[in-house]
Parts: sequence; structure tokens; C-alpha cells
Amino acid sequence: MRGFLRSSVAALSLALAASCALAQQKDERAGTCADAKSQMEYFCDPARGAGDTMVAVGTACENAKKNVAAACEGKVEADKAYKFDK
Amino acid sequence: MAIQRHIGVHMSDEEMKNVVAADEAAFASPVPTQMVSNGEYNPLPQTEQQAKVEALIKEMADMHAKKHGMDRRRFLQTSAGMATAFVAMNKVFGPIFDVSEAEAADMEMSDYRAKQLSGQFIFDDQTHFIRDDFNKEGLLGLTKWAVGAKVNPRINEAPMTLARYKMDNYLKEIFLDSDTKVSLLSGAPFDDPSWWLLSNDAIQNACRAVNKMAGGTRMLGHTVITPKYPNWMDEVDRGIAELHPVSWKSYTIGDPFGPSKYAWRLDDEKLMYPFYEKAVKSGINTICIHKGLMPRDYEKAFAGTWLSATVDDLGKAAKDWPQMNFVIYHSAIRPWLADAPEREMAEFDKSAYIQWSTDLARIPEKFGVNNVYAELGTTFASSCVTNPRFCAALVGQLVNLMGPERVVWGSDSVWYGSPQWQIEALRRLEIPADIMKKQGWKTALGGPNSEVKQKIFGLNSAHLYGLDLKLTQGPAFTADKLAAIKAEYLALGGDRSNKTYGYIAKKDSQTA
Repeated sequence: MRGFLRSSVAALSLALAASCALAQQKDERAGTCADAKSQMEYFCDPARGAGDTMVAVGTACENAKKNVAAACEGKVEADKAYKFDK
Repeated sequence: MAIQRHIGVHMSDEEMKNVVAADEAAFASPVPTQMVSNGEYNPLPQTEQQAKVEALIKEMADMHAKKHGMDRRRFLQTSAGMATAFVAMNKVFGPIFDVSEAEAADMEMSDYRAKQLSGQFIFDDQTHFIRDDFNKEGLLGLTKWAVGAKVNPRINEAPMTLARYKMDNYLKEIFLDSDTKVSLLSGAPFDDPSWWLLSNDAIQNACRAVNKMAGGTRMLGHTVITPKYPNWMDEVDRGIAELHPVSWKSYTIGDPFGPSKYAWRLDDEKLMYPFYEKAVKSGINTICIHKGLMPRDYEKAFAGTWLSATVDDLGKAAKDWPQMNFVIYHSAIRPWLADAPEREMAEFDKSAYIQWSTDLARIPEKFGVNNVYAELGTTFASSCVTNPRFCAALVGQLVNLMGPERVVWGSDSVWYGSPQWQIEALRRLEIPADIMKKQGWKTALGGPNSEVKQKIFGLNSAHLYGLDLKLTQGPAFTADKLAAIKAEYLALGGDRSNKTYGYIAKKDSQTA
């Protein structure tokens, strides 16, 4: 029983540590996870495009998807400097 | 499947099904009879009033053209044709534009007026073209050239390519087909680098080439700055040391076409104040900032970032940096165009408030600053087509609250084709007397070459950018090589194409 408890506590600690590490990696520059999901819901909904306002499913939907990945999952694309190839 | 899209267009594939290239489908009116989108917002379907305008233009043009022994298309390319369009708009929207039926009928009278005004100093504070190597396949389907009788034969000579958005056509539309004397060339960043519009080097190279060809100053250029991008200040330093732009361009919203991870604020002391310090020290102390142009449901669409599109950050920055000039593009207007214009006009009638542009107009008094400017690109073009009365209210409010010295002309060309129709619209625009009275405004816009309009069209920008005012009012722009090219072009029968290069709603999407 004691062994089980010890291993359970250890597992919980590891999970918490992993969760903290993941949280640190999250990128919320384009908004929180909830914001990014709102962006994606708006811009990636093709039904909205017919007569609505600026539904930029192209770049905007792609942006929103990346924002969700960054803010919710910690999957962050590397930034690129504004520099053109000659 | 990767969605490929034209630079400057951010409508979805689904949305694109509901629009067609404006030059292909729209009736070739001197003034668009339907709202044209630059891709930063969705075009509205043609309204009932706009349909009436179009029908009237056709009816009157047919009548006048017959008298002059020409076809309707040719007539509409003349000054009388342009006047006809404004007569039709007045008949539908009320007397907003200063134009007479006699002018529409009498070609000599309209030509005389056009000639008298052709030398007016017009500085276009916001223009674009795309880089030559932009070649996304999807664009060809979206921007194909019109074929058939509706298209300018000269344009038809070009293949169905992106050329219409590129430099050659930019020069034609702006410098040959309009009265514009000086343009300011801009660029834009996007979160997706493949969309970046023009490099800062390309902007300056274009300016050098045009000015060398002209033998004078005809084109000025921005350097785009990208706060929050890696090493962005290096590009600022390079701009100061090597590129020598006349001003800076930036997007607080980060990416004009979607929610960005690079949104920022003008009053961010840690991020921006070191930049202002460098800008002031370098003497390049004007920054042009894209503001407004948000979708109707912006709080959802741009959750977490939309505040950067407002002028919430402007007052403090302008007050803290009186040596800087802040030129607010689009006059920060939220694209009410996506809503019913009548609703926006009703809101103005009720509260004298226009979403976000009124916030801009109130900043000078609220913060005690005089270094904030309102720029009219896209905002003017679209409002004067959809609801001229609202357009008059918008311009009137900017002029009366900020002062005529703080409003600058911009057309957002070349997205809307030659800006001449926009120039003519402002020349003829007046604030209705009932609005003046109700708002307690004192400054009317005046005649086509009034002091107020001269300031808006060019003198304010000339002052901002240190152009010699004696030159701007003298022979400089009628005696250089570009003027000679234009004279030759006109002598050879050069005609305005009446084309708009954005997108309009398909007729069958009007009820969507």
C-alpha cells in the first residue's frame, strides 16, 4: 500500500511538472487559448463567409489555427524576422 | 490543401465564390456603383440605391453619348461622363456633390472644368503595388483580366496575370490616368511571410527609379517596421542608415488580414519609446499606422487582439512624443461597410458617433495634442459610393474636430484602379447644411479647389514631408518628364479605364 502511494505521488508530481513545463511553453501573444479558439471558430467557419464581414479563412484561418496551437497546446512556430530574400 | 490567395486579399475560398473581380463584372462607371473591396473587408452587395444610380448613369449616358456621336463606354470615359455619374448619385442620394446637369451634357464645359483642376496639387498618402516575384497560382483565378468589350483595349493587351497590381500599371493608373502629383508607396507585413507585400528595399528602389525618370520628386516611400518581430529594431536602424524613408509604416494589429501574434500598442513604453527616440533623432519622425477596418463581429474574430486596431493607444503616445507625427490610416474607421450604411448614418444622426473614427477625431482636444492626422484611404472611397451623406458626415467630422490641417488624402490605390474618381468625388463633396447646423460645425469643405480641400489633397502632406510648397503650387509637376509623358499619353488618346481592381459581390449573393 505504501509502495502504491509512493508511486502514485511520484506519478502525480511528474504529471504536474510536465503540465507546468507545457504551460511555460504556451504562447499567448495572439490571445489566450479561449481567444484563439474564438478566432478559429470565426475565421475557419466557411458558412460564415457568405455574407458576413471580414472572414479571412485564408491567412486569418491559418493564423487562428496557429494561435490555437500556440496558446492551447504550446506548439509554437519560430518567429521570422521581416527580411526578404534577395 | 494549401489555400493560396492574392496578396492583399483575405476573403475565404467560400467568400470568393460570392465575389468576382470588379473590373470583370462591374458596370464600367466613372464612379463605382457598387462597393469595391481591397480585400481587407467583404464587399457589400449592390444596394437598391446603387442599382438606381447605375440605371440612371446608363440612361443619361446613352442620351448624352448619342448627342455626341459616341458610344456609352467612350462617353463615360470623358469628363462629362464623370459628371454624369455624380448627377445620378445626387438624384438618388440627395444633393451631396457639386455638379450640374449642364456639365454632364456639355462636354466643353466639363472638359474646361477638368482642365482647370488638372494642375491641383494632389498627394496620395497611401498607395500600394505588389512585388514582381509574387506568383501564387490561386491568384490567377481570382484576378483574371476581363475579356470582351467592357475592358480597356490597352489593358486587354496584357495577359491574364498579376500585372494589374504591379508597378507598371500602378504608374499608369496613378500618374497618367489621375491628377495625382505625388504618391507615397507603402508595404505591409503578415504573420505568413509569403504574403509580405514589398520589401523596404523594393519601396526605395521604386522611388528612386520613378523620381529619376521624372526628374523630380513624384514618389516617396515608407519603411515598414514590425514591432515584436525578432530583431525588428535592426530594420529601423537600417532604415535610418541606408533606406532613408520619408516616414514609417506599421500595423498595431500585427497582420491586417487576421489575428496576429504580433499585435502591439503605440503607447507601449518598453517596446515603442526607444523607437520614437531613434525616429525623432533621425528626423524621420512621422509614422503611419493602419487602424480600423475590422469585421462586424470583431470581438469574436480578433479576440485578444482587436483593441490594437482602435485608437485606444494613440492619445498617450502622441502626448508623450510631441516631436512625432502619427498618421492614422483609414481614419481608424471600423468597417461599418460590412453593416448597412444606413444604420451607421442613423447612429451618427443620433449620437454624432462613428465607430472609432470619432474616437480619433476627439483625440486632439482630449489629449491636447496637434500631432495626430486622419488619412482617408479606403474609408473615403467606400463611403462615397455606398452612402455619400455618411461620407460627408465622416469627412466633416474629421475636418471640424481635428481641423482641416489634420486630414490627409489617401486613395489606397492601386486596388481601386485609377484614383481619379475618388479625387473628383472629394472635389465635389460638400457637407449638407442640415448636418452642419445640427453638429454646430463651422468649417464647410468648399469648392473643388477651396483652401480646405487644397490642404486635404496635398498641402498637409507636403508640410508633413517637407516638400517645397512653392514648388507644389508652381510648375514642378507640369514641367517634369513625367508630365511630358502624361501629355503625350493624353495626346495619343489615353483614356481612363474606369476599372476597379478589387472585388464586388456577385448578384446572386445579394440576399446572402
